[in-house]
Amino acid sequence: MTKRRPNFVIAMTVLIIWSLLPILWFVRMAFMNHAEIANFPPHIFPSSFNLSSFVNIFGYDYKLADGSISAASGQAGQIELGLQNSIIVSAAVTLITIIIVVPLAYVFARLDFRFKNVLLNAVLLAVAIPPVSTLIPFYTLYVQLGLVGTLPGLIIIDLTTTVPFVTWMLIGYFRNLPPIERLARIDGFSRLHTLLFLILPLARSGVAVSAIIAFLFAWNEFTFALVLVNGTPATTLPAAISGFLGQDPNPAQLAACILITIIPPALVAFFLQRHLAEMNIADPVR
Amino acid sequence: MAKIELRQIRKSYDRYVAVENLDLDIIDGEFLVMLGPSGCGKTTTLNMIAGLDYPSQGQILFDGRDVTAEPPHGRNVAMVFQSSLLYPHLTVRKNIEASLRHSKLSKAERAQRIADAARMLELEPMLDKLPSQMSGGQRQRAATAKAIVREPACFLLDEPLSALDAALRLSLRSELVNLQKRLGTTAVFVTHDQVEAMTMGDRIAVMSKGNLEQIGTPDEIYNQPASLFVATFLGSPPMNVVAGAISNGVFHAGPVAIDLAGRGIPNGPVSLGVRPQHVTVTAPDAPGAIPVTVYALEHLGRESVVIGDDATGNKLRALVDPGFHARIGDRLGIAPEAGACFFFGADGRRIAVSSSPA
Amino acid sequence: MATIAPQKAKARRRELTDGQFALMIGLPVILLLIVIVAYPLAYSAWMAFHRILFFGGYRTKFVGFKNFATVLNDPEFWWCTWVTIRFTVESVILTMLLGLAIGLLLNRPTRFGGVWRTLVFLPWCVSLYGAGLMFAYLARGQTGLPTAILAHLGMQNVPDFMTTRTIVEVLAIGSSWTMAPLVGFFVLANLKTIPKRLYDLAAIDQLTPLETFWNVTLPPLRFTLFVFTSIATVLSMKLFDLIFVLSAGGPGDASSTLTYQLYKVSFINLNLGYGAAMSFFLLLFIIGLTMSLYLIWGRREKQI
Repeated sequence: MTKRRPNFVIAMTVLIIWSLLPILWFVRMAFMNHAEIANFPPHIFPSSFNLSSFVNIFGYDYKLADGSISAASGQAGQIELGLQNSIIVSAAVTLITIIIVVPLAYVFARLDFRFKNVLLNAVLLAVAIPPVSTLIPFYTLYVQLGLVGTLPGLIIIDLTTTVPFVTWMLIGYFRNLPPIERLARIDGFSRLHTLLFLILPLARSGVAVSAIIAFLFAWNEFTFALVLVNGTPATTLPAAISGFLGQDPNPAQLAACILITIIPPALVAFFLQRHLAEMNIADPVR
Repeated sequence: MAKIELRQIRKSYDRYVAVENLDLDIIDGEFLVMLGPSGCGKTTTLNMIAGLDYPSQGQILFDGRDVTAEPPHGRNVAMVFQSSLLYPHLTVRKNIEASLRHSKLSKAERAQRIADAARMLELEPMLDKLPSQMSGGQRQRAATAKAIVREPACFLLDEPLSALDAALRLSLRSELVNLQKRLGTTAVFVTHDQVEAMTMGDRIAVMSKGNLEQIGTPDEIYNQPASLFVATFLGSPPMNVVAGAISNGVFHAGPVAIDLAGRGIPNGPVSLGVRPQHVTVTAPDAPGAIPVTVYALEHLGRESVVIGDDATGNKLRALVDPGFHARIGDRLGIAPEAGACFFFGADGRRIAVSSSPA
Repeated sequence: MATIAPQKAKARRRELTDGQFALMIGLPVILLLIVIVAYPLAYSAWMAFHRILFFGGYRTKFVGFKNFATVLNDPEFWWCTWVTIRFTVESVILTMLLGLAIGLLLNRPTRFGGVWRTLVFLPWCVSLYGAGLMFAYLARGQTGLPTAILAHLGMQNVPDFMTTRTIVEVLAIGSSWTMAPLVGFFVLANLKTIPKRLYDLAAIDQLTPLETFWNVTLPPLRFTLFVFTSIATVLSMKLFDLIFVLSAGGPGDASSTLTYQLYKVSFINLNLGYGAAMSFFLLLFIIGLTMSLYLIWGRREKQI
């Protein structure tokens, strides 16, 4: 930091505040008790930092400072189940997305074959279809296949979104890798070996970013979960949280739940953010 | 070590023809340079020899064996790519080792080969570095080591020096030729740089627009160019071209008149080509001299080049003594030596004649 | 030299061609994708051409283009189209400006760069329903930050943004808040490929910071910006979670975008045929809008 850059510091501060403000508003709510939230006009800061909401949502009572008991949430069972299922679904979707998308994006980005453009357009069309309009067809199909209320059912439907979307993002990235296929052909590596052992290690940033995108989507997916698994043993965290909206409104516990959902993706992002900054999809300047 | 023959090779992409009816014999152990401007088909030809690309028609023979449909590895070729392409995420050692992957050598033999190649190219201290940690010249050496370690039937080099700076190019040029001669392996080297071609090649194959214009030793290519394209593409400073016409066996272009002893040359438009060292600078109105206005004077140290515009704006160059003095805008004459002129017909081919002042 | 008759190169190749390898790797996936795209589309098409009744026993009746005609004659549909367009334009412009700002700011070397990056990235980690809830609490007069600040300063005003006039803007801000970090990181990755010597050149030419931005920084970003404008457009037009949680189309129908209306028609009114017909218009709008983006802008970028 040799030069003072007041404009930069101000802009960065504004950006950080902008990014964190809505989250901090919920942090504030999560630490408040029932009466404080209902208070009007609202306070900016909670009067005390009580952890009751975070404890309650996992099914435990919490003894407040004044000796009264903040009772465990009635949603706790659903939340714990949802957390468990969300981890399974997100891990599976992430893994399967990577396995499918990396070769697919590679094929589209670096090989030339007939009908390439037609197929690419089909992928793009899949990105464009809104989930609200595919819900009824999939629901009907799932009823017949017995997939409603099951984890595999949710995983499959999540893949229908992640696969085309991530493919679309990875194509530009793969195009920018150096043309080592020619080198590999001279050295006598098979196509598959080239992809798995030469291209893949080279493309690890792209793979990491694909993982982040797929994980975030599956972790946060709400519409499908609400229709397909809500209230079943296969409920996911977003569906379980929706319980706080209707049956059991409790803003503090709701806020606590939402904050909990941010933690796993934030950890993923923290460890992989280096790769995000490597994800150039445009032609490099020469 | 191999003799490579290309028979009636044709390569087209959809409607675009990249290479047209190419016949080429590459002699065992020679250093053949394929020279031409970009888009002339030289890299496509190299790729077909490598097996990276397959010809639409024709045959490729290695030592008489038909390898036309053989994949690259089956041909046992080694290739150095433009800007010395290496696997970016592998160390130099791993990069070199990748060349030996499909050989049946023992582990010790492999290590020995890698060590030999590294020593030959002075790469020993860099074997465990990544390509991104090395300079352009070191990467070029690593790519060469990767090529020689396999002891291939031939080396194929696709403009390997083009991304390097001039001084490095100069030293790597002789280094590559020296290495090739010591190993005695056939080499095909693609370049668009005529100096590289002249200095490195045992023979040069000049290509233009998918056709082979001429193949021969640097001396043949320079002194007996088969076409106007070859004549002007090689030589520095480039050859002077003067448009004129033949009537009754005499070439005329303004004040220039040259008698072509060869009889039976049809009348018609013809181009005269003469190298800058074969003209004399005279007064603007001297007989047989083309009047020019001096455009620039370039000092090369041992000699200088006068560049002048003639009446039509065509640039003519003359090699002069370093002491020569002229100012831009001066009027001079440039007179070709009749005996050193080439004549090219309307089709661009050279007309074989002996010429003398008319 | 004996002339050899030109002969077709033999087909015996031990290497796979591009097409064969693409087939081997991609075919199963591509088939799956086609099923994923084709099945719901075909099913929706079938629904759109039928009248589907639940009450008094499930029965269907072929009605031809009647559902499509009803959609086009429905003023509610056109209102929702207008809301969708207003929301999409605002959301996309905000997202792209924010994304560009994020990329530019994060590209400056600072201490603790990784920490700032993670903080700026956090909004993308928040789910759309989570963001919807946050912005609902922030914007509502009863619980919002503006009211709290004013009360802190001793004022009695209750600024409420969950109103007919401003709800679409609240939605646009919420959706750009979650989408911008993604754009920002791709812009950042692209910025990192711009060689420093170009900035040296700009300094030698004494360009102002604005001219430098316009002539050096922006041109290499154009392709990335185009791709993400398209992505942001598609995502904004598809957006449902955020609207469902934040405003549920309200107040009244002030924020009833086509996706929300579709949900209302199909899942609440159970008017499946009508909903399916409407979903085709929505899909048409999405494709039409991205296509026009491509024709107006993307076509001119060299790499598509």
